[in-house]
Amino acid sequence: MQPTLAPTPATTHATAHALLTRAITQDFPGQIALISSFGTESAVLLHLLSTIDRAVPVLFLDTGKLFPDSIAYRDALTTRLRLTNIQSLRPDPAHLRRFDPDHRLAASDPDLCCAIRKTMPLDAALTLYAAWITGRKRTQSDTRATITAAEPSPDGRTIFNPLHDWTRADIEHYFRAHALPRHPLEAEGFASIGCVPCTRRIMPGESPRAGRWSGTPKTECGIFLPRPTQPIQASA
Amino acid sequence: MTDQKPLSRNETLKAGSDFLRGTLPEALEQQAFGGLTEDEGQLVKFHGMYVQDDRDLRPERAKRKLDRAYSFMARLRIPAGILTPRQYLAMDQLADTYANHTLRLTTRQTIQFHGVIKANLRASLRAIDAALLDSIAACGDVNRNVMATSNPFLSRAHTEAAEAARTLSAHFLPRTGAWREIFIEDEPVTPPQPEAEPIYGATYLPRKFKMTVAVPPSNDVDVFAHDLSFVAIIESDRIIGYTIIAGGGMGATHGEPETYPRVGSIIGYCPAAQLLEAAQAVLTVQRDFGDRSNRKHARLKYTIDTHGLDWFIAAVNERLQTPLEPARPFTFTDNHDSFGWAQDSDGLHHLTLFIENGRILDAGTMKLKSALAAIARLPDFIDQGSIIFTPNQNAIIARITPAQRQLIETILADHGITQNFSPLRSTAMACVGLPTCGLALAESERYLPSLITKLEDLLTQHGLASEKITTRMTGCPNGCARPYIAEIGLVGRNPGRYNLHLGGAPDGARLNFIHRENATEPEILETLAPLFARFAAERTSTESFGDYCTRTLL
Repeated sequence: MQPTLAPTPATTHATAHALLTRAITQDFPGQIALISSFGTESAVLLHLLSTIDRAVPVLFLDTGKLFPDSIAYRDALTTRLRLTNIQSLRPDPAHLRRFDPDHRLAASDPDLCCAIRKTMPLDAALTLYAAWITGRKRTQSDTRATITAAEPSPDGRTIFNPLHDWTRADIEHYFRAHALPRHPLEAEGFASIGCVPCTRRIMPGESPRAGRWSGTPKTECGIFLPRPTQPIQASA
Repeated sequence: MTDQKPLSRNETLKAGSDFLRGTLPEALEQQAFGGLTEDEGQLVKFHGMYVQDDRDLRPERAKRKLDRAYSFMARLRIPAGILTPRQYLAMDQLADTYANHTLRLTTRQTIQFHGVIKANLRASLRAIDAALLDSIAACGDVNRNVMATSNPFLSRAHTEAAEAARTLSAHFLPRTGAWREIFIEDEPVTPPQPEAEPIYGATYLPRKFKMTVAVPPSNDVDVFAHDLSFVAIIESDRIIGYTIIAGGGMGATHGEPETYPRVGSIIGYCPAAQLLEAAQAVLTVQRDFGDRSNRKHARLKYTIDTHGLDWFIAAVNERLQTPLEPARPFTFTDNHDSFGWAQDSDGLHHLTLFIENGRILDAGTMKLKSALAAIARLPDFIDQGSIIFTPNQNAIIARITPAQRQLIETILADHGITQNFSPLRSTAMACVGLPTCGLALAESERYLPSLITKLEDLLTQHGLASEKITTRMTGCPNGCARPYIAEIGLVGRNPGRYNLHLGGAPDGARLNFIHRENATEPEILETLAPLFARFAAERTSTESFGDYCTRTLL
């Protein structure tokens, strides 16, 4: 048999599991949270988590503009995997009133929309933790092509990316091996799923995140980017 | 706990069931018999199903020496009653493929399917699972579907209440893998791994347990009728905590005065962060002290009345890190739904539809089932809308774009769906009753609409046509439609005969009283006609019919 240099799915899974276990139980016990969008690939990281510690906080950014199917998927995965600490983070109503009174901010200023609906609620929640875990993968987009297993976040916390080197095939293998349910929109042609106004189906051959903020230069909501130096003041 | 009486049969059954498996896997393979044994029938409830049969066909089949026409009722777990349009469409299809072509919305914000034959049970549950839904703990001696004041999109507090319902439902979901193993997976896991049930233990609860979360001023969930209710206390549109009500319950048995309906007692207040801890303290007191020898005396209401409310509150506090605080005040206006259009802070529209007795079907020119499916399939709506079931067996088409509002009205009109119902009819509820419910002593859902028509005529004669008078009917005394807190309650005793209850409060906070027993329709009408006349003449300006009856008849 021809030897191969590429890791088999089994070793990929084992490496990710070991990294996650160390991060949760040794490096940052009690000081770490996982962030999940409960998107098309999220079940993998959440399943890995459920085999290690079901009580680790899972932060979920409920922007108020999500597909209801993502909420239904969140609830189904939570009960299937017996996760016990899902925390839904919501935008500050004062920010919504001030910056999005006519509900058109997603179209007029998507960066500001993401800031008040995602970045700011997440930053407020992360003050309780020293490290966080994401499901980002290098293959998702050019922006993510160089991420590593563990790296400092813009604010000095540690970010763990246990799936950083997973391929689409690795993900698919894991879904099948553990009979994980699929996000309901995956069958509808969605690959990466955010808020309703800024997400579209992708065409064959497009990168998974091509359906996000399509037609604009924007590629990331901003939770993984350096924060602006001037914080937004709702009361100004 | 200190009870020396022998355990009820169900307790032994649960203990020996290997966490709710029993002989169910084998029974499903046995297709020659369309039903289940008595024990299997008790166990299958925990998985959300009842064995039923078509009682209309019983006499004819008995004459021909045929077995009963068995089928199953399957009930979903839908915390706060919220489905995505895709989930709704999957359930709409399931009704046609495996059930009796109807969806029955219940008084506890979920769907029941009727007429599912045994050979289709697994396929039905797989369709439910594929839609990211389940029927776990929808019946049985466990925490049932958790309700919340409907429409999470109306305010931040409503969103938080629905989230609380989901959290409670997930937390108290049985840990056993029996449901998935028996009904979903192709090959049963053998030998089954016994799971610990950290909250329930191997014998679960003594009896059913029902929770609700209410957002005042609406008491649509009827907080006083359930084992445990959380009434949201709101500051700046956020839920800061809950006033807790415990020990409500409707069920009773005719001729057994030691069984009775009870409205819940206010036991204190907890901050929002203490929700799960408080719920678990109440539930485990009932787990440990509830009567496990007599199932007719096993609900939390009897535990509280047996030991006393002060004892109960102390027992709950013993299990809490921080004892409950004094209850905080709240005010309810009514326990109805608000029909018609509403708008949320995102600029989206919501339509609450009256659905008579919760039955979604195509009947003659009124094609409600087809209309709702057509709406659920609309582009945009299918991606961002929701369909929400209310505690009054109605449905909300939620999150409609302004552009689609007119279209939805047109679809409804084209399917013969109008919304010109009297206040009496649109606040009335009936349980399922005959022919499927094995407990029914009299008609309910099939009969109430015609009785309402006669009551509408009476009310019109007395100038009361615009009165909202909560009217609820059940075919037996177990009280699924919560008849004992209605202003007019009708509880089936015998075919064609009902106990007439009067005097419930419009906000659902007070039990009614029996005014006339075992009455036929003419007797019900001849009793109510003079009362309506006196009410019209003697009522104080804003007095409700229930308040009037309580003031003048007691």
